[in-house]
Amino acid sequence: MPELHWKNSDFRILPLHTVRLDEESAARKRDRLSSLIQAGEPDLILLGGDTFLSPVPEEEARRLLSDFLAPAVDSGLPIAFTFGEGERKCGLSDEALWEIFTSVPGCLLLDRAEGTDGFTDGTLPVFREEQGTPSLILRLFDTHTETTSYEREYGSPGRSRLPYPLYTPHYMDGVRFNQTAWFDKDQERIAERYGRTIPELFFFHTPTPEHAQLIHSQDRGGFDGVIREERKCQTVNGGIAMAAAESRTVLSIICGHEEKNDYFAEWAGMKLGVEPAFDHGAWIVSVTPAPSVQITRL
Amino acid sequence: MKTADERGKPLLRFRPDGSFRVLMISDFHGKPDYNPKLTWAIETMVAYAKPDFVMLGGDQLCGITPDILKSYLTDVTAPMTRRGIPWAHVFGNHDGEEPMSKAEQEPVYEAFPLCLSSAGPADISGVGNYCLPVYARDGEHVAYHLYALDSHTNVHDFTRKFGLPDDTVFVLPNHFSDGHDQATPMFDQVMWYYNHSKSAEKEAERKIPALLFLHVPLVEFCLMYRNPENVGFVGHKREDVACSELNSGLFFACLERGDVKGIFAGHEHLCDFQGQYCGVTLAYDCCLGYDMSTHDDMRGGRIIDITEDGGLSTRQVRLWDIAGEKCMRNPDFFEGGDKYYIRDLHT
Repeated sequence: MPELHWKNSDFRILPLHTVRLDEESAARKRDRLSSLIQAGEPDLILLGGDTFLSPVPEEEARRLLSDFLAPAVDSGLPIAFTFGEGERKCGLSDEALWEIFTSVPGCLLLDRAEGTDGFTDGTLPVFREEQGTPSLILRLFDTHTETTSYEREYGSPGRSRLPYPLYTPHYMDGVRFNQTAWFDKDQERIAERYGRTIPELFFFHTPTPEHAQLIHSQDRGGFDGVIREERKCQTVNGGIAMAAAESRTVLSIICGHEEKNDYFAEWAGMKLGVEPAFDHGAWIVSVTPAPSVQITRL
Repeated sequence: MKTADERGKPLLRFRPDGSFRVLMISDFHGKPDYNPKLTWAIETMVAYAKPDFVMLGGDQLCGITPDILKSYLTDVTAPMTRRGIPWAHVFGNHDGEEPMSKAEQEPVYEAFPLCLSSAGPADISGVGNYCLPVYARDGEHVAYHLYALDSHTNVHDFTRKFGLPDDTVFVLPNHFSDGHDQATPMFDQVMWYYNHSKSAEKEAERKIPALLFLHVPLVEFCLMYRNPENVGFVGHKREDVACSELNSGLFFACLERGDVKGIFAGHEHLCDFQGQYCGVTLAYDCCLGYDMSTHDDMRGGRIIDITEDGGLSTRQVRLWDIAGEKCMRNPDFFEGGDKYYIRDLHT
């Protein structure tokens, strides 16, 4: 399995949310990715969900993704991915999409979680020099689709959709509690294996209610960004932000999903951020050796 | 058939007809010179409800000193002692006030032969995270679980836990709850429940239905009054839901596990409502004390009837409905305001 190596002073990630590949925009998006790579000089490209949205035949999806990522492949950049709700609307199975994504040269295979609801839950260790202990763990979660997906599984069909929900009337699923529990258990495994905790960054598609809390109070100090649309966070809180805060090892939780919103702020000792859709903006998320997280808009 | 656990405490068991009744009473706010009407109120509620088990839902006391804690608890649990009814407790946000910490109080509680509470795992946040089994009529298998969780004091418990400066702002100026700085169970407590629930299912080879008790309501309680027609709202809401803006995912954990049928809270002295979200009943038991602010017609307790096959029904019982004006703190003056008195009694 290819490994991620931290070669320079900072480890730089180019997360790409809501790319929504289609025939019409493919060439433009490939050119934009090329520009972003040149401007951002990333060490990793991370597709954060909704890479596909519209129904697409399997071979076309393979070609669209391959063409889009060509600038990354040509630059020898490693690529990672997780799924958002769009991947469940494009007409292809999770397994088919997994095969399409992982067939791209340079695509990293996650150390996948066992026993969670998420198809793309997993970790990517980042190694610095030749040390055997990772300096950083990138943890990816699958945020599923809408609340209907777990209502079916947990036997409460339609019941999460109240007219006046706590956070947002978009009824999104998100990181479920069993995925949060996996993080908790996996942290113990990592600490046991390496004799210490390892700093982590989380990436997933649909924001947490804690992200929405930041939007809700954007006039406070430390809020960096702009809100151009209604928040669209998880409906029932799966506890991932609190688990991350309680662990004291998570530096940042980066999400997407909200197309035009572009913000980050400190919350409980972490940086929570929502990156806009590919057509509306892009970030470089840099991890310094300290470690700390710096977000730069490209 | 076993009748006692390894501590010598009585085991809870469904009645021969397959029913089991819990009475939850909270917020006594007892202090060294507590109002003697408190013990009358508890006696009245217990006599009316005829429960199999009583859960004290937190804020049993405020500033009780070590020399009188035992006698105070003896007084307030006398109605259970006289009837041989087992009881347990969760701590509320006031219980840890000076001069006694919750850890110091816990052994005093546990020394009562009918008290089934326990401190819980030492490596989990809070004091009093435990699970009580309720055995089926045959006494052989567990038919229900009663979970108890400590909901801490306030949001600063989290800043300390997270290693953050004490002035860290968690309740932002615009909030989704009603905007209070309460705490909530921490993530490690939620994981404790989650793992316990999974282990119990594995051992029993089936889900074991459960009730969950804590003092401070979860933020999901706000959904009840905001969507009354959709959740089957019943009861009164005369003040904010003073929950935490923070959320450790306890409700989602319960939803996933599918065992918790109802989550019951105290804390609010002017809320006794109930409703249902995603199939889980969320309900308050209001308050029963005479040494804090409330309305005279709001004191009461919650009856929770469960059945051996996993059933649950619940209703709030107001002391006013049992004892009338006798439950008023001051017989010459109705505390609560005409607005509520007239609306609730005459509509």
